[in-house]
Amino acid sequence: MGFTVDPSLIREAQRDDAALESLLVALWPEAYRVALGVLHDRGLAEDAAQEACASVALGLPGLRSTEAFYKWMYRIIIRHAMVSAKRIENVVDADLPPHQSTASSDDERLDIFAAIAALPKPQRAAVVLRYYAGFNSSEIAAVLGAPAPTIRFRLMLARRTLRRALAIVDSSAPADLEAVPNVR
Amino acid sequence: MFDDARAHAEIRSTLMNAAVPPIDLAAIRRRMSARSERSSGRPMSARIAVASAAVMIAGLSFTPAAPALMQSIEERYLAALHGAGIGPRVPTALPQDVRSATNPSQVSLATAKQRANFVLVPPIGLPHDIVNRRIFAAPLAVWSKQENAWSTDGVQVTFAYVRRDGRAFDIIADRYSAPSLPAPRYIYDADDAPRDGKLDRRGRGENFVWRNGDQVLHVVASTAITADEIAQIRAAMHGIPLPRYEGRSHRPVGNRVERFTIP
Repeated sequence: MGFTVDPSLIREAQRDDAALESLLVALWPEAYRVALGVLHDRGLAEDAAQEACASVALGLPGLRSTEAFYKWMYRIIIRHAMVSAKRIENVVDADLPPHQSTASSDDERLDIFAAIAALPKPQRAAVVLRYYAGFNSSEIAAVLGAPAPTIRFRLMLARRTLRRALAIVDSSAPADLEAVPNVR
Repeated sequence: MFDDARAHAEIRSTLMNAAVPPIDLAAIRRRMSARSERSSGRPMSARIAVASAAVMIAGLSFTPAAPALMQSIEERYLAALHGAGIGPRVPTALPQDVRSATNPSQVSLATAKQRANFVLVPPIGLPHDIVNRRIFAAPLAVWSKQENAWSTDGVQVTFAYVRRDGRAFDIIADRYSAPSLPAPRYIYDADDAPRDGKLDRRGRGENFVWRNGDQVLHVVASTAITADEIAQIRAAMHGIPLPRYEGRSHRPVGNRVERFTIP
């Protein structure tokens, strides 16, 4: 797991407002990136990250163990991102700006990010937690509240879809990711 | 070739390299306060209900036929809600005090900025033939499903423009509220003009909605302003387009916030 904060800051933030702000400042980039990985939209990701930070701040005093902080935090971020994603899932004309990666020089990097965006939401969340946050399937199961075998199955489906999508791109065929079947 | 190592490296690298906007602690505090109010059960001025209907009502309130139209729409809107039995609690008629409180008043830009509960960013990139601009501020009428009551909350700011040839259009600024999204793609401008007792639904204008910070701007394309001109305004403001839905009614996910459109 890449993201960590000093456990003493978490304990301090449970009772001190200034420490809470410091914790939120530390947490913010991680919340935004995870939300961006799930939502693939900067505006929605910012909104979901703000909601998640508010939830963390409100729920922190009730958190008994600092060790539980990370899974709890990721669960909150994913939940808010999924709510945002669900809210727009029936939108016919999303009118969303294209993703602008700072890694535009690396076409493959863009390809894989676009391919993730074409995955169903539960698979997308699992992929972000697996490949960005570095969780194993049991930890993802704890975050998403689903059985570990289900998570492994979702990851398997996601990998298969990503492999197909990237194979299309790699073979120089038109990169029509919409044409890649969503295996649910 | 796709494998786990490549996925891990590229996904992590892509997200780590993504530009992260600065944290808005004030916005997070606002969200915390709003939730604390909800959970404590105090009378809250929840921003509910009628994002799109309010936009339509506020927008129409600046036309010459405003009062009658506004009342007509409001009554039909409420009647439709009652008729449809939408939600566990159906809004009651708008009380007179709330109705009075939501009357728009003409203000200066400075006053509008003071009254707005969001960072008001005036439109730029407007057509060059604008000859008159007026600004109106009006508190929003909101319906709380928990309190089962109407109240006012926030302020909606309307920029009313007149072009050299007399054509007029409005740009409406409101505070960004995720639960009120997505917005309708089309506003049926003939909804407010019954013909022989029936709604004429032939006329419609495309509704453009975008976000600047915590402000959302709404503009409806019409004979007074084209979609291209609206796109220029949005581009000049570097606005983020917001999702829109097709059709005439939409019920978003959520149990606290309800949004209605005029059927």
